[in-house]
Amino acid sequence: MSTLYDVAQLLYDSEIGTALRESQYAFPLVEGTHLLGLAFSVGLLAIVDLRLAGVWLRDAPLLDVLSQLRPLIVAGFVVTFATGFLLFWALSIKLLVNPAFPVKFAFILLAGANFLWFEFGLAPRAAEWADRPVPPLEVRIAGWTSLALWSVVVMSGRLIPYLG
Amino acid sequence: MTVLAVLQWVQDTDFGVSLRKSNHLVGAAFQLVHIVGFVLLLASVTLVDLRLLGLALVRQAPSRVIGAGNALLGIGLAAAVLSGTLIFLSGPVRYWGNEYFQLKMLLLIAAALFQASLFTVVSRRAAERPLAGKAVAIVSLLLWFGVGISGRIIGFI
Repeated sequence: MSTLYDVAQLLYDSEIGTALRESQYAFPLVEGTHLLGLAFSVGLLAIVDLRLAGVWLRDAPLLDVLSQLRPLIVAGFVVTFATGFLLFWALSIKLLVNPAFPVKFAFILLAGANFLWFEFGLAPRAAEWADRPVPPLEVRIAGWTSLALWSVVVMSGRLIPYLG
Repeated sequence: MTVLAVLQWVQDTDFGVSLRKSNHLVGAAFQLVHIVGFVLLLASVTLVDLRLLGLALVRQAPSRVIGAGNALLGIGLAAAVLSGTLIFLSGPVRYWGNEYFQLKMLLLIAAALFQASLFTVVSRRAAERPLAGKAVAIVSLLLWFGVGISGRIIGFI
């Protein structure tokens, strides 16, 4: 897709992209925030997924766990995505030719699709199944799928420096 | 027998040499386990500390959240320490001399000791003494995220 590469080239050559890429402190800070932000986004989400899968903290009401951790997870993802976008801005063309990056991005989209399915397909009827000791099969599948997809995202993200 | 001499010896054993010469992807695998481990650890610490601060899962008794959190913390810590040991053994002399590695190890020991002692004792009574619970929660967050931050800096210095 040549237009995607052209946009990436524009980002790469931009003042901000270059400054970020060559900075002594800003880049490590953005990258470090991206990584530690994972604890709040992917980490807390993994805990929610374990609850949805019926594997952890089973006597905490499901709706409590979902609704109370949601704002923290959303905040975590805002930080993770914002820093991720900045990292893409700085590294753009290098990332597009790195085999790990399209895999990471594809699995982020898949995880997003799983989230939308849960949010609009399963969650609206949560009152029906939230108090059952073991959630219905589709809910457990959504939980395990989320865990699996985000694991691939983290793995492919880790491989970016090694394959670039 | 200095620590440095011991580490140099370890580095030169067959195991040490084969670790250092292994394919880069082997190192990447160890680092991946390390990341998953500490993300799990930091997430459970965050969850428990947020409960103690009254910011999450407030309708659950603190002791329930702490008990459940401890299970995940144990798994995360074990994975992080095991993988961390292997990463360390791939270059013990270099890591030992890195001042951020030293800081990380000090913070790790402090965090683990604090978690096992003061934190456990105080958090047990968090329902009756919420302010003390909040205090240990803040110290816990600072220590464990301090480990994470200094660990991240190792790669840059």
